[in-house]
Amino acid sequence: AAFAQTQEESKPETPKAASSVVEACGTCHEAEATSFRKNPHGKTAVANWNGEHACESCHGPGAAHMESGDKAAIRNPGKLSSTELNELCLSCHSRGEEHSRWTGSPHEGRNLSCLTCHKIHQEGEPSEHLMAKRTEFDTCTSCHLRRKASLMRSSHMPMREKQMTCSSCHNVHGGTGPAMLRQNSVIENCFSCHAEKRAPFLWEHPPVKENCGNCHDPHGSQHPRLLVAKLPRLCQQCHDETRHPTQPYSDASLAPEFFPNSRMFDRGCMNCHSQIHGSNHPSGVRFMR
Amino acid sequence: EEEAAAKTAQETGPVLAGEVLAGPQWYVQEDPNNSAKFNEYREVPNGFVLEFLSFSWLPRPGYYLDLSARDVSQLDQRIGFDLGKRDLWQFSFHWAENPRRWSDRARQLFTSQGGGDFTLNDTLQAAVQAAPPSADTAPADGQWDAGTKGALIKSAIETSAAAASVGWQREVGSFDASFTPTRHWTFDVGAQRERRSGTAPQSLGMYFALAPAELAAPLDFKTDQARVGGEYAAEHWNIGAQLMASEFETGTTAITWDDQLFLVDTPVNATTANPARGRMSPWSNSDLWGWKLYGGASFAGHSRINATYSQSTTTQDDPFLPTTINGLLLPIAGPLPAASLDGKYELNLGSITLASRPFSWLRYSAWFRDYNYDNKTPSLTFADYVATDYQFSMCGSANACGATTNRLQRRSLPFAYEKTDLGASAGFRPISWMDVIVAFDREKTDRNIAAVTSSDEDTVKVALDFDVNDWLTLRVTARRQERRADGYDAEYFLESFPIGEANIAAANEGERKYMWTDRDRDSGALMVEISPTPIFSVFAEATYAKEEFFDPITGKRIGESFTLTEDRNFDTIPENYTILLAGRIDDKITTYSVGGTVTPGARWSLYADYTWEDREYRMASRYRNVSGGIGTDDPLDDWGSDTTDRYDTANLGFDAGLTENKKWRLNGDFSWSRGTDLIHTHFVPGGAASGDTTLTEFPKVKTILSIAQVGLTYKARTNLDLLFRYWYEKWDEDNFASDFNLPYMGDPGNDPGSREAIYLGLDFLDYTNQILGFMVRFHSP
Repeated sequence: AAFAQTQEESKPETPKAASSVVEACGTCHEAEATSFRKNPHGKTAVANWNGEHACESCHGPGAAHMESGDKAAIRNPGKLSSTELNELCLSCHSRGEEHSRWTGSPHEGRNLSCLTCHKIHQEGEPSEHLMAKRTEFDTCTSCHLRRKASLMRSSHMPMREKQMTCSSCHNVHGGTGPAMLRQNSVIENCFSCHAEKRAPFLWEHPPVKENCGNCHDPHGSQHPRLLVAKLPRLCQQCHDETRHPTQPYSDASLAPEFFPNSRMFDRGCMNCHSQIHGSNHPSGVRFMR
Repeated sequence: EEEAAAKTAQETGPVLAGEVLAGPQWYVQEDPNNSAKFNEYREVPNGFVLEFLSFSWLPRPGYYLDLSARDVSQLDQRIGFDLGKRDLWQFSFHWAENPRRWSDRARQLFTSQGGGDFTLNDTLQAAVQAAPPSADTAPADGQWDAGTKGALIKSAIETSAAAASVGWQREVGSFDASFTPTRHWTFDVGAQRERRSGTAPQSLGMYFALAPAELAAPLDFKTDQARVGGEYAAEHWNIGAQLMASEFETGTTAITWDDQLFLVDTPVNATTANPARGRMSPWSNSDLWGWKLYGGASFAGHSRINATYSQSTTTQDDPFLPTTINGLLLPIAGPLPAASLDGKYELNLGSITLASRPFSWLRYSAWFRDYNYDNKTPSLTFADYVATDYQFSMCGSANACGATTNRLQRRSLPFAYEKTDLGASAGFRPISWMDVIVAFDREKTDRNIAAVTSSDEDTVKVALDFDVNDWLTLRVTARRQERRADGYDAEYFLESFPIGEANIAAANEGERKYMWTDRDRDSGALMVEISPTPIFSVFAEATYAKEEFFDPITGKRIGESFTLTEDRNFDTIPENYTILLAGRIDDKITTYSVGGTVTPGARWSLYADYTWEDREYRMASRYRNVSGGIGTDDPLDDWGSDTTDRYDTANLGFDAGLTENKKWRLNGDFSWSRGTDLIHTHFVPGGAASGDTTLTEFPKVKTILSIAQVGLTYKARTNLDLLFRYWYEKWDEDNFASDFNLPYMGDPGNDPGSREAIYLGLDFLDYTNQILGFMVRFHSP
């Protein structure tokens, strides 16, 4: 988040001052200066906590380098260790819930650095959030290949259609929920869009309120509604006391054409138990009302 | 100096910039027309499209106004409007919408009267009520005899069912503002309204005696959210607070429909009557409000501590519908215990994390987290219930619940749980190119209504990362999880039956629900990236996870049997009972991915990847009406099923500058994904479990999606690109659960339970689409 400095604070940070730093560096590093002006870093006039701004907020004081031309006389963030680099970025980006939990997060614990996913100096128009790849999806799936594959399945979140991204659900910088979810739990994450399922119901189906992932795979499935297994097999994983074994129940099973019965086709068990997420009907104890 | 001065002048003066991508596109092959699957979440018009638009205006230094839009005027358009003064304040307005379509070919016999009320033609209802049962005897020609119930309903569907649009449109508008008066303070406020309107498929459970039905139920959801927050940040610490509120409203709290079998409520006996109408409660309004405090502090040794506490309360108090709509049963139903639920649950989270890197070769972290789903909804006892508007549930056995004239009572059991997590992790870098992580975590779960009220899960993780050289990275992770419960109460739900169950039912007392069993889970992952030269890179990933489920009481694996010695017939001599542990036996998920990129020069790049994924689930069970009596061990009573899901996915892409000056550029993306599902069922034909004399296997399910997109770009001027695009997409599915779905499903020889049923016939038809596009991109230099 950008911020402005109060007048009583001493260090001068005007757009002109920031601009003059870029101009000075751009004398030699023209391409970098041009790209810098286009990205969010180049548009803010704010300094880091050391009072350094523009190029110097990441590269440190540049006077010695300008005088000598010595590469070693200036900080090159790309050569820093992941710890040093992350601290450098966090010296500005530590505020807000988006980044402040980075330290101790799963990605940080695996020694990833900000530059693993972000690229500061980009050719042409900068990508959104300065992602290292063309899009956020491309960046995430360059490591998480099986997630990329699962989104190609017939039942999927509308990510291929560009209605969602990974960060719609995950805060990859560290969150309070499992799997770096944006909300505190799987159910809260899902309810943040599917609010119709969040109400306390008279008749509850415990797996629903404990974890939507008991029945749904949000990354994609070949089964309708992102179900983790085909119906009725999915329900039978718990409700195997039923008198209905997993068989087609097809009266025409011996005929040339296969006709599944009502426990098998369409929504399987939910053809009758349609209110499986919970019911508020006084007679809804079996989720049929 | 002059150049620098010019640039500075440019920055201080008004600046306009923008980009437009638009042009016509045509379907050169569309089979079938306007496939709902192709347009499931989007709109791909045949004609002119304004695919992207951006406009940026900087009226004076620091001030900005940005507008961006995608797929303008389409059902999946997105529009964003941002303005502000950099580093001080900003406003954002965003609009997004998308469709959700369910089927290509749904047809509906019901007529919507509005407000969730659906009717059938009275003449049809009366005729069906008076008609004889469905029969195929005169002649036995595979069709219901004329004038029978099934024949009348089938005929009505074929002649009168109207095409039904099953789908809805989602629209989201949001506003956000932030104000940063000083470098220490940030304040933000935001609001969002989401609307979903249209229809969704709704099945109408009608119990065994009556015919099932399905209709396109009205969907009219509105969710409003608002939040306000503030944060104070210093160089080494920050603290913030947020308030939030949300309201969910549904335009439909009840769906009422005509029963195709009866025009008027018709008595059967004192506690059973065929209803002329059914009614259900599909959605409930709810409110949510909450608050959150969070903060963190950094200190010496590259250390940081973060803490969060949040609490939210969700309530629901919609008036209850009457016990039943059945006019013959309602007058004799017991009074409701309350007019509404007054339901409320709180979600409380407290978490604290400490992480430190005191030395370059050592790091550690520790965490504590408590998440509490605290359900404050009252437990209500209902004197009786009519599950399908047809019949009071009655006591079936004097030994179980008293007189058989007793109606079963039910008590609601508000489910709640608390998860407490405590763990630590340490990382070492003994040598410069190797990193080792060891972590331990214990999660304790307490539940108040469950077969298992307390369980612990321990997780041990070891990870090795090798950065052997710039060209080789290897990451290995192994994890072992053990979940152990304090026991298993298979009859935990009995407190929902104040006078007892209908019968002391024959049941497999070895049944274990996998969520609550003991579980061992072993998983591992291996990732490799090899980049021998700057122009070539290969990466691969393999993951493995296996879960095995165990009985918390005996420690035996699910699927095995154990012998129980008890005196159940009260003859003072204990008998032996063989109990099968039923449920999920084990799961195994394996994935392999391999990919590579080649970038031989600035003009060329190529990438490809392939992923295989196998999922295998096994389960075993035993018929509950065991032929030899409870505790007997007869293979004729056993059944089980194994399922295997397999997925193959391939991607290939390239980008090529055809000329040295990159005036001509060709790019392409190709992807192919195939999924298959096979359920293998096993029981002894003729055994008690199936009642089926044949071991019929399920047909294989298969879905294949193939996409090819190729684009040719000509850079006509520095601010003008011409694009020619070709898009091929094919979807092919074999799925017995939907391929046979028709509005009428009850022909003789088909499912007897569906002979008087009315369905929508939901299915997506396979499609092959080819689309050509000629686009113009005009942008500021």
